[in-house]
Amino acid sequence: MRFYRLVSIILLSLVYWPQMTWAAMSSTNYYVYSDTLDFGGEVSSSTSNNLQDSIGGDLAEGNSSSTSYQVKAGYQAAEIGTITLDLSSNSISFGTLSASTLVTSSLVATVDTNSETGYTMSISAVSGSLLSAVTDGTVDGSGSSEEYGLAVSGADAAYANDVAVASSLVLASNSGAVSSKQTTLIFKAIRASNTTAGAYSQSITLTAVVN
Amino acid sequence: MLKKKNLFILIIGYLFIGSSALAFSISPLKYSAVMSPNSSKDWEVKITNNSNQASNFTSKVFGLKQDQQGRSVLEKNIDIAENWFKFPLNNITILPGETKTAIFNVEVPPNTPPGDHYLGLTIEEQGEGALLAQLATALKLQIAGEAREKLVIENFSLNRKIFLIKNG
Repeated sequence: MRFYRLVSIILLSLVYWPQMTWAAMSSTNYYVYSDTLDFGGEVSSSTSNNLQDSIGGDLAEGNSSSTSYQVKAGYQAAEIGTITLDLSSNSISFGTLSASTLVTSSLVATVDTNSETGYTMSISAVSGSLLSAVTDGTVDGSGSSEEYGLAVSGADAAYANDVAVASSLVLASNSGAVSSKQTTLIFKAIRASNTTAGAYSQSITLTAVVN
Repeated sequence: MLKKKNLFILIIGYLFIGSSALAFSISPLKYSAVMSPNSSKDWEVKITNNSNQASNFTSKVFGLKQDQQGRSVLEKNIDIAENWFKFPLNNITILPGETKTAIFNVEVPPNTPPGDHYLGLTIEEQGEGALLAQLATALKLQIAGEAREKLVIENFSLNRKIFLIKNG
């Protein structure tokens, strides 16, 4: 118990002095996302693998507090780097649809990341409804039916045909770091002659996260 | 004015005004941590507005899963830990070129069993259009505790006959 208190006091002195802060440590040139108190660890290597380990991160795990300070400690690690998502437009419009005429509207999504494990871009949320979702891989109004779907193109495109717009749909991915990797999203719609008239709209959230 | 029987049926899809680009970045890419039940912690995600206009950003937490190809996919309501988070700064306005920090506060409930939780700390750019851009910092949250592994043989069978030889 004394040891835990000692570690907590050291933490308070080193990390949270001179005043309590909720922010990470930073200076003009550096930013510390997450700090830890270790007493060991080394870099080990073999022919095929490298290992960077640490010892002691769990020692001060838990909450400690006094009148002026509060520590929320625990083992943590972070992969520093950035991921950027750039959409060429925040909306697309099909305009007024004519029966049996395919209409497309597209935008370009650009991803940058220095993640060694790459990235995945997908749809994380969809609300609202549009025409009937394509089920046969091609938005072409075959059988005089209405269809609505999404195609993707680009080096990282996840599929080659037209698919239904839905949550968890993977649009593009890469297993390594990428620079200005562009994927074109092509929304396609075609209405039938008996499609109910009205205004249709959808809200779609495009998300990118590292693998 | 418009009736179903009209020859020209107007179907208007995706009518949203505005087409300004969305562009932002976040850091770090991943967090990994061990926490105990009944403890709390803050996670920070830095947001940089790369567009040429001020933007509003909100923070949410999604579950994070991998598909069969090992790709990371965010999805709501797939991990109970999504409900443990609070957002002290849930609506942040960031000027062009500016960087601000979003805070995700997690409170692990008491009596939470040990195990791993995979989450996405997401930053979503709020726009006027129907397309929203979202980025996520991956978080592997391990709840500490005594792991009790149970292994039960439910069935055992052999295709070959076994002969037992009694000596003596």
